[in-house]
Amino acid sequence: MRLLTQVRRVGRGRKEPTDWWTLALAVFVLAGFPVQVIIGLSAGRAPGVTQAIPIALTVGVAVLLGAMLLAVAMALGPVRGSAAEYTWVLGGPVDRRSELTPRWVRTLTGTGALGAVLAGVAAAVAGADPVGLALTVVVGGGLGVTLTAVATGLQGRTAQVRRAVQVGTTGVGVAFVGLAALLIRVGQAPSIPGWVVPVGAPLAVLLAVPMVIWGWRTIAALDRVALTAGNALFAAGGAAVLFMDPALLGDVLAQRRFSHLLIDRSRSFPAGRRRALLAAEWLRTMRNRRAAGVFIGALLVPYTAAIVVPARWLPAVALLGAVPAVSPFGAGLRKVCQSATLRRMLGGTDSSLKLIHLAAPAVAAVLFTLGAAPAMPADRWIALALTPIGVLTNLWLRATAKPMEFDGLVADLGFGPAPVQLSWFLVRGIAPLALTLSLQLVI
Amino acid sequence: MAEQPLLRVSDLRRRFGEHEVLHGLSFEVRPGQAIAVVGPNGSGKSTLLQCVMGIQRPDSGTVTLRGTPLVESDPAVRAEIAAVDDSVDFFPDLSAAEHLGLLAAVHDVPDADAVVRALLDEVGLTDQRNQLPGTLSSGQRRRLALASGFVRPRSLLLLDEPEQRLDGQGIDWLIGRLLDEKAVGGAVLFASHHAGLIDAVADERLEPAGPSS
Repeated sequence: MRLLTQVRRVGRGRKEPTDWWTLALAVFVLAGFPVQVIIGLSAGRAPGVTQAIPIALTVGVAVLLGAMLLAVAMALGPVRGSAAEYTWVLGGPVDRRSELTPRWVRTLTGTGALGAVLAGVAAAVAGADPVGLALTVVVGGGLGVTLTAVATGLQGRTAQVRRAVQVGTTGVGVAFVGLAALLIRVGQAPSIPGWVVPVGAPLAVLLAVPMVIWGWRTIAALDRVALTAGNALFAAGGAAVLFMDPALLGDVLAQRRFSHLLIDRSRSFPAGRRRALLAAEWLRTMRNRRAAGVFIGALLVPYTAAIVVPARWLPAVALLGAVPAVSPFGAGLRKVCQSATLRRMLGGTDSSLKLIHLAAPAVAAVLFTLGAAPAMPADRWIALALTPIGVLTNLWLRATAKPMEFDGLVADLGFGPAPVQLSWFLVRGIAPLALTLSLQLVI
Repeated sequence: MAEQPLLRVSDLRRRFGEHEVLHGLSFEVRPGQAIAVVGPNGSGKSTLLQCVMGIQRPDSGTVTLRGTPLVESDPAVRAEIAAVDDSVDFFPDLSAAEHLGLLAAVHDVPDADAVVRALLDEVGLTDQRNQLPGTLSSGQRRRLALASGFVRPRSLLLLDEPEQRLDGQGIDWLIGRLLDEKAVGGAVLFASHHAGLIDAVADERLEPAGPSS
């Protein structure tokens, strides 16, 4: 224990000073952009759009958002230790709770602050008064802390329990959104009553307290598996952010997704190259059950948006919803594009292999577009019809991107040198979406 | 033994920075012939195989298949060469049997199901046929990789240390398989450290000289 204290002291002594003011300024400036965009969009809201958001819709979206954040928190830990740290420190005769609590408190504080900021921005956009804004910030902060605490509590439970909670919360969220859509259709959707935020603020704090106690109690019982399970995803996520390349997450996510998949009987494929590849693609798509869930969830986006967004914007909303909806169906395309070894094994030309694996996302994109059509008036269908083109071009350009090069051509554009290949790598997926979105708004 | 070489490598050079790993290497592989690439770690065995596979581009020299420059992305080349090295990749959501079945189907293997069943039995993966690659042990994955090379028709088999993670029984199976390959006119180019495998299979040995400044 004395040795551990000495190690900590040495570590503290070597810490580099952090320029907190610069960091705060950077966060303020970067966070300011989306806030300004949201405020600008809400200021330009067309007349005739429903201003009062139905309570069922608010609850549904909040629960879905919470389920998604909970899934991310559980996938990463939220309490983590590297394998080396476990071997040399946590695996020894130390009080694991006292060792892990400081970092857990930092995580709680961070997620609480994030929740408070997000809730504050939402309240500001909705035009809340100062008291309402302050109370909403308290609600957001409380829910942020609760979410991390619940994820920590679940970290000590079995995978089945975590999965059940994940499915349950997602199901509740989808049910509320569906209920909201139904009530809106029959004209019986009550909006959020004024007492919800004043009552919700103390309730959020009260809810956080037992959850924090539950999470804190769980920390001492976290074993090596629980503490190190999120390391690969955390490292891949860090690399993906650092190199601005989401593809770096792909392999880790695929391994996680399919590590629990049990196949009772291997399937045969029909003779003939094209038929066999398409049959394999179909089989693989059917096995990715999450793809169907994401597809249905994303399909709800244009219907939900129709309540609060002018009809003119709905094709653009559908386009943005189609990106995550179609992306899981492009797993085969991404794999074939990234793996020259697989292409060599499968034979044929590179282009034929890539085109065959474009079939599944193409079908998904068309189905999504057809499914989104009833969410908007018929005069917006021409703009909506551009959705498959935009989303498939985006998918193709992202899938066929070569690894990022940091030593390529540099061009001086008048405001400093700009790496051409790096810049194209970053915008090649976004560019077709931006172009399609612009066309959809113009048509 | 046929007259015309299947694979011809001429004056192959590959340099990494100041270190030249392959110094003007030339050789031929004919149908029914097996050539073992031998030498210590870092001597350029894998680099040579990767240059032949088209994974690495040599600094100079030529690699031809049936007299035509070898281009890895050419469908005809892909139909003739089966390669198994450390970079073998799998779909994460297809089982071991499905991988082999897919390869057999896309390469038009007749009675693919029976071929796959027999091969799974040969490599000892019958019990793991329904497992996904991510759930196989490293040794089982290696055997699946080897099976992926044998499940499809080929003229040239390229193997980089195929003995890796195989037990004694597995080595015996591999020797038998490679001898059968030669007997039906297949050509084999393989890198190996296993003296028994080399002695039993190789008609010639090739030793890249290793790095030099």
